[in-house]
Amino acid sequence: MANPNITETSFRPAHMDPAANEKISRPSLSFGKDVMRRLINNKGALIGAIIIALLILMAIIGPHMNKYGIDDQDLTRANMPPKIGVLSNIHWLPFDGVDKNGIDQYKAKNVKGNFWMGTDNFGRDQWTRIWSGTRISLFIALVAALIDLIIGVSYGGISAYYGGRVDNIMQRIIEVIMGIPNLVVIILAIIVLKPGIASIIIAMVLTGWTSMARIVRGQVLKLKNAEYVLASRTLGASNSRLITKHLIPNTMGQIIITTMFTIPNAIFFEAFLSFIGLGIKAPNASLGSLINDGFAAMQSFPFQVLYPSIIICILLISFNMLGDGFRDAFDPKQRR
Amino acid sequence: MTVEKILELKNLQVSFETFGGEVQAVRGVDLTLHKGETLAIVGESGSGKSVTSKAIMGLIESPPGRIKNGEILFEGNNLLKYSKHQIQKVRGKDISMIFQDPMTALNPTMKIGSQIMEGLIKHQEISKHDARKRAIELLALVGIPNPDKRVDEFPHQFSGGMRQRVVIAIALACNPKILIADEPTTALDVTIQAQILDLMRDIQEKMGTSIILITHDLGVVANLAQRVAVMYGGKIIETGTLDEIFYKPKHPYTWGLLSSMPKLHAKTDKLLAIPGTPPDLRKPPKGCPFAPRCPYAMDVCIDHMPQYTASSGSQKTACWLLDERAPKVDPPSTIGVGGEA
Amino acid sequence: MIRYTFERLCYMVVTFFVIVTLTFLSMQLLPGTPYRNAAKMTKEQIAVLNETYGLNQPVPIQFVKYITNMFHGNLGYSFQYDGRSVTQILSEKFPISIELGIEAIIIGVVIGLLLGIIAGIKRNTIWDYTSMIIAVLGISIPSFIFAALLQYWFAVKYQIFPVAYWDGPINRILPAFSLSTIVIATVGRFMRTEMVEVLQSDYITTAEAKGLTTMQVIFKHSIRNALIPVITILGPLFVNIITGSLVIEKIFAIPGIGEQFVTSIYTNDYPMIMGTTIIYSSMFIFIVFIVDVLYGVIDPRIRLAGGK
Repeated sequence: MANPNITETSFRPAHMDPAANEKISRPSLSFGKDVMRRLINNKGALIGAIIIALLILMAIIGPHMNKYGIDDQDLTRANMPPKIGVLSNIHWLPFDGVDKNGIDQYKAKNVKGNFWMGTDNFGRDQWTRIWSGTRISLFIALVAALIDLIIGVSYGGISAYYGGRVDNIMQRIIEVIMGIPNLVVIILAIIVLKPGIASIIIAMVLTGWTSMARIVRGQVLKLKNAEYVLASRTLGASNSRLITKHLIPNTMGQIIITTMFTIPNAIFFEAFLSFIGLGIKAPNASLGSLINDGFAAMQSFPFQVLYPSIIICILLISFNMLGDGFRDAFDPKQRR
Repeated sequence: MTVEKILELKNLQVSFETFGGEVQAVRGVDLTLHKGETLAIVGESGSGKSVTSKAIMGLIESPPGRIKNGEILFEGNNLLKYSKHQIQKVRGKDISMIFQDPMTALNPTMKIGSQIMEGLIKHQEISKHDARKRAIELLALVGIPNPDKRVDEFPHQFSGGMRQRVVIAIALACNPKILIADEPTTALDVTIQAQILDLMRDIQEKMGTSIILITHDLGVVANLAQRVAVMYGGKIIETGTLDEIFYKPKHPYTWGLLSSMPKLHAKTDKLLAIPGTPPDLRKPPKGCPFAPRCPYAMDVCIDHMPQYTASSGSQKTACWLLDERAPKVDPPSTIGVGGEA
Repeated sequence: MIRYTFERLCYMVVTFFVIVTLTFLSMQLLPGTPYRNAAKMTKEQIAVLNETYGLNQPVPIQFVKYITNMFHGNLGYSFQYDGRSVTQILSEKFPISIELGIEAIIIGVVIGLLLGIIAGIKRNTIWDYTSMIIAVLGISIPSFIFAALLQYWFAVKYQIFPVAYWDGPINRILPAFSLSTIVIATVGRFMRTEMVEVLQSDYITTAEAKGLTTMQVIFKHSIRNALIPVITILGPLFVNIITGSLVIEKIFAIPGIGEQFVTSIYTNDYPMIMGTTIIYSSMFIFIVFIVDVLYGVIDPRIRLAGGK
């Protein structure tokens, strides 16, 4: 008890400010900023975003980086292995123009110039074709996701907004559509519409929008009955305030997450369709059709299937990682 | 008192690692539980009372939790020194626990009979048949009608009050020496609360179990407890018998708690609240944790944690007001407990 | 429960009818003649063939006929296999695809559950991260790329497994494993989330407070409860398996319905396409129905709530 620091004067009444205790020690962030902060702190998502940005850039400029066009056929330079000038002296890298039997095809066939990712069986430059393929794959995926988003948000929003009979009928329709395996619908649609960029997009949208519609409807219904929305209505919040402060931030998350997973799914489906012969027709190329062509010659020229496969895998992994990142960022509770 | 000590906590310190830093939930708690008595630990949310009870059960998840210091002596043996295997033999057999929310405390996909039998089979090594018989007995003991039928039902077929009875039956299965009840009535309707409290008192009379009652409801305390420990900011700031705490409280926080209890015969219809919020235990205060909210706070309270001062009987209070150098302060008139609780 | 089952049954019938109609109508819209060497045939020859296959009748009558025949187990005749019935061809190939699918599901579910359970229990450890990296790769990498890689490495380059065909048990390994990757990934992720959620619930604390060992808590209380919702992803997984089987059967030259379907698409064999679509859809609808009912049976909360 004998603490020298405690003297008679220590027992004077202290002036305390009870409010000082209630100061919030962390700065408050707006919802959007908070999401961005969590997203950037997620290494996987950040790497995914950077790779996606790089691949989009390459899809735009890649086909123009050398002098070969997408359909420049020349059978004298068919099936050339990859060769990159500066890397051609490093033998363990597969960029020295030597095929798997150890023959330098560039010397053997007396081909001038380098093909960075080799050529296909018509002698077309794979580099150009792969990046234009990436461009088409990305284009299809982004457009399909965008249309899904527009249809899904309007359908789900209308269904939830009107409620009652309208909602009931609209949900029955979705229920039936979701009962049909999307694979069947997509394949039938493409057979009827003839393979091509537009028909692939239409086919994927035919069933794709339903999940978005369900999610948006679920979110809006949940918010319509949420106690905090009721609370803010009680406090006299206007409709526009409810929409901007509650409805948009809370449904936006789900919409972005769903879209982030729709994109890789669309990329996959395009590749899948091309692989079973229902995709992009030559001379155009998508990643899927390149893989399909390359697969046919896989035993002799594995590089023809390898490079487009690598690109599509990196693309899908990046989108999935970014999607996971968005999901965690929008709903920190789910991240455990 | 010469009654045998069954459980003793010495300087228990528990912390949690969080994103915001280390939270010191329990900061040196000393407690004693005697055989056959009911000890109530009272405090508001975040005072550390639930963490203390979980620590006794060895249920602090690590990480993020960590018992930094102290001893938990059960019949003289330090439970903190026990291996995982050893503590599992104590849990449910010698010390068991009743949880706050009966709606979530039972496994929804398992028959309640099996949930009661599990502990029996594990600790008493009896056959399934005998365990089932015992489970039916226990259900009857906790006042569930038609126990031989209901033993094969699932939790969702029971009402909240009935589920809490099942939870109590699970806890009592192996005749534990200590029963920890963590807010056993908070999630229940008022009428059901009284039934559950009656049941607990009955059981204690029949089985002589020692009970640690964790609650923020002073009504429940008055109903069941013989001794009371008041927790605030991870520390016990006052302890004593029920009468001492209710009629001769010495700590301003206890005064506040008693004042904030609604009273039937009060002249005023105003509810008295304690202003302010509990301390942030990521940055625990150097001095008395209650000082920022205390109307009698002195300079010394801010920098120095007061020692316990023993007054008449078994009452101990950690407050600088009891220092002989401090000004004399009388408890406010609002704390008067009608005694009819 | 009975009402619920009946409601599901109604959906099943409506959906099925919608699919049959849609399939039939899309086939009517198809351009071109379905015969293998139509260019070399005379008008008369084509007319005879149309007569044989009933293609000269009005569309509504063809539709009614198709539906009637369908209920008698007759899905029409393949244009490509000179008058063999679709039912006959499909029933030959069906067991092969089913076997491959079941093998893939078993491999996928077992490995996926293991990954998910380990990741859920050892949350935020190297086990968890490794399992989830495997899951992201499994979800991202298309099964046909995975199959092509496996085929190139293990069959072409090192010749450990056969490149293709469906002869002995050793032929099953590569295709079944390639097909199972998506199942492993989906089940693994889902199971992890469920495990984490279950492990944080109050009844797990109750079980621990009873003094049960960690193993008892995990096996008797956690896994059982975490498994129940996993049933709900069986429907989508089934579609993944069918989708995968089209390409996997193509890659490994397995004579199943997937490979047949792709061939039928190339050759405009309408009756085969229709037959396969209807088989796929009925299987899917049936599985969704079973999953719905099964979920009610397994989860006592739904089972009894519905019964009261």
